Amino acid sequence: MPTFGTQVADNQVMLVVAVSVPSPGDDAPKHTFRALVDTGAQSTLVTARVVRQLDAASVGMGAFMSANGQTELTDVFRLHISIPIAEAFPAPDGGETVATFARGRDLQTMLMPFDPPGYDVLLGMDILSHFHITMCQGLFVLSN
Amino acid sequence: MELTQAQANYAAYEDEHKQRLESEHLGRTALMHDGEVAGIYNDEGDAYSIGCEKYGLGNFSMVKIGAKPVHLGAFAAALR
Repeated sequence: MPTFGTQVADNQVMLVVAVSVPSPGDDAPKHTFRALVDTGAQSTLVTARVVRQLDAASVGMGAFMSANGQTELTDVFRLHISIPIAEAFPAPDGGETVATFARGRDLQTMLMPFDPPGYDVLLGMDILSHFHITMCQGLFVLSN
Repeated sequence: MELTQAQANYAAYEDEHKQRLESEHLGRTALMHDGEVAGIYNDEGDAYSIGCEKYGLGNFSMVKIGAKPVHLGAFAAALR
């Protein structure tokens, strides 16, 4: 099974993800950003920096529950977010070669209503639920 | 300040279309342009593709009909 593993550091899982605006030819430029895995978030969020770098346009307004229980609105962007997954392929000498590919999906991402330190993408359950995730002994393993 | 297409469409949806669409198309996606419902789709990816093709990105928006506010989790809430 194609997998990607990284250490859990300071009780957080940080990944590097590739983000682009979906286009018919899949030829839109991809930018990489640091991303925090957050299984407590229903939706994936991006900072205004991501939106600026991709020159993305809002495709709607999304409602979220604020910390005080109030409903607030924020812009929604349709983005393709890819997570690195390593995959083994047969090598010409009969052995195996491993290449890392980005496996991702198009999804509605919300604009973060805050500016977090150290990352620009918060990976929520809308994308995480499509992968097999294991955490054990300080290691985070993502499989396709 | 002038409303963006997404903001204006959201306001029009809430004021003029929400009640009817939630009774007839709950769970589907409405493609909106200039305050009007331009189409109803089962898949938001289809709505996005057609919106890009017909109006261009930035000139339409989508509304998930009947969507509830999402929870961003305790981590996000702590940063606000």
